[in-house]
Amino acid sequence: MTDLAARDGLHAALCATYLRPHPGVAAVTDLGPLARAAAEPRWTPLVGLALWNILGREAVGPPSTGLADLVRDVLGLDIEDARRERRRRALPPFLELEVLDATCETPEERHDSTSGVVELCVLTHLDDLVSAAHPTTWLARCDLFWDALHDTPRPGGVLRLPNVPSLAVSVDVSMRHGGLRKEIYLEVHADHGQLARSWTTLEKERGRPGATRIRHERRVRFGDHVSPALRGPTLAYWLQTEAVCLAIP
Amino acid sequence: MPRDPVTFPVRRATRVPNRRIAPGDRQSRERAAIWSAYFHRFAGWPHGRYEVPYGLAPMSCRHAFETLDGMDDARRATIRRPVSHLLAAGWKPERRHLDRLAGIATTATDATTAAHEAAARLRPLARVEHVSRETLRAADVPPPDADPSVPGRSRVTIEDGAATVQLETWLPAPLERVAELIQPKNWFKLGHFWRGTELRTRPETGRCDELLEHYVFDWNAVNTQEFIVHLSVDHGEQDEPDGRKTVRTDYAIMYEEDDEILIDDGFAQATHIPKREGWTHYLGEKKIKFASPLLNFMSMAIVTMLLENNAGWLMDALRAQDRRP
Repeated sequence: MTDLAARDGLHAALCATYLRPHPGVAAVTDLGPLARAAAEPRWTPLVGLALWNILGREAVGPPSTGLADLVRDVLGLDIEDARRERRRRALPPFLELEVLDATCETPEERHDSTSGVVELCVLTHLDDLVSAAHPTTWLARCDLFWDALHDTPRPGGVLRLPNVPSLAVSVDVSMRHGGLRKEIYLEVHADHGQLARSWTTLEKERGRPGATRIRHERRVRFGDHVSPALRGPTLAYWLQTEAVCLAIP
Repeated sequence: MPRDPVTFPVRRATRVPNRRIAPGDRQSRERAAIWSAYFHRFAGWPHGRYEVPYGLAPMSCRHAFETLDGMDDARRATIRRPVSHLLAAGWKPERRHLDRLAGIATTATDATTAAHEAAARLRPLARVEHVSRETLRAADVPPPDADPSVPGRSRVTIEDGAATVQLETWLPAPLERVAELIQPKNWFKLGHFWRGTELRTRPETGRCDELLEHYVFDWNAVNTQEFIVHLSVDHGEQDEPDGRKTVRTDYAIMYEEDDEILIDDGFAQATHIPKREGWTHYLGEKKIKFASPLLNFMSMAIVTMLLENNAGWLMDALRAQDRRP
């Protein structure tokens, strides 16, 4: 299998974990791509997110084959402990990052767009996150979503969202930086017009020195060719992946 | 015949086996008087003090007031809140106290008041509201039309067994001067209770972000308790597009050398708001939990005392700078 095919397979497998199975239908997850990706440190946090989704919908009963081993290897937790933690944490306890608290709102359809928010407070100093939060550096670390990313005053590349045809896009960037907070505003433009807007804030947490709260919000116009049932999960996958890539330099 | 100084054991026997307190230690008596005012307000006056162990029994209200009244005139802002808490606790000043009370109230309100009105003038300074944790979290800078002459207030809550207090007030000084004082290296200038501080660079972070504090409580005129706290601190400032500027120091306990304090977190935030030239909005928060269950019963009073004392010293320090030639 070529690297590109493996990456596409992983992209699809990760995104599939954000889809909710139809009521009464057992969820079937192919753990193969996740198990292969778990061996690569750069993918491990994303596999952690995917496992967290799987644990969220397989809260009872015996775990599917290989899941317990993968949970132990990626998250360092026994499967029962992981299920218990899953009930009270929106994001997994990454081995690479201490998350103090997190909320992941289910994306909502509003008028002609889908919007969602991820918020997490991490035990990493703002100054250590600021350089990683430069848009081109940040997007390059989310390389599952990007091809031919170029770093110019107006960055751009080929955006590869699962369930959506690849699009050549450009990104307008606006940033404000201070000693307590950094704000990043991005507008993603495709040929047909604006595709997405995002507001990202990294802010020192009051009363917790060394901790930073990250709020990542995005509004996307998917268009009619994307099924409404896929818009929310696709955005949730995009947002969570970017938030984690930002928090784990 | 002169009496020998009384010697009492100190709880932290591992480091300081005994501490002899000279009867004339003015600073200790002042600390004890401040603590006594907060004890009476939060733990109940007048009989509450007989129900705590001897070592923690505070001064009487009268004794506390007379000790506070003997403090340096440059410490008026520091005295006002403890005195207002004595009044709010139900203490009735005697006739001979009224003139002094009026003096304190006059300083507080900048108006000449009759002695019998002084107590009424001081009462708003003792405002304490019990609120939810969410209310404290939501607290931020006030709208531009807020009135800086309204006395500050303390808001308190209990969360996970730890007392949390937030104090919001306006300071009559530009942000630059307040900002300098809320830097961790200058904290020792901001209260009765600091014996010393030292800012250190931590090898693991490479930043100058560890503050060692030597803290002293005098529970009464003879019993002292010391804490040596290692805090993680972080200082930053932010310019906002609307012209506001915020300076904040966050802190959280790493450890107390005898593990006597489990939680000691908070922040001090100063904000310049356009249209309020010459004023700075101050927001301070502190959360504390002791290892001792007895101290935890009184933690609300202790943490309110610490925060209000800091704000009082901040005000006095700014006035002292104004008086300098």
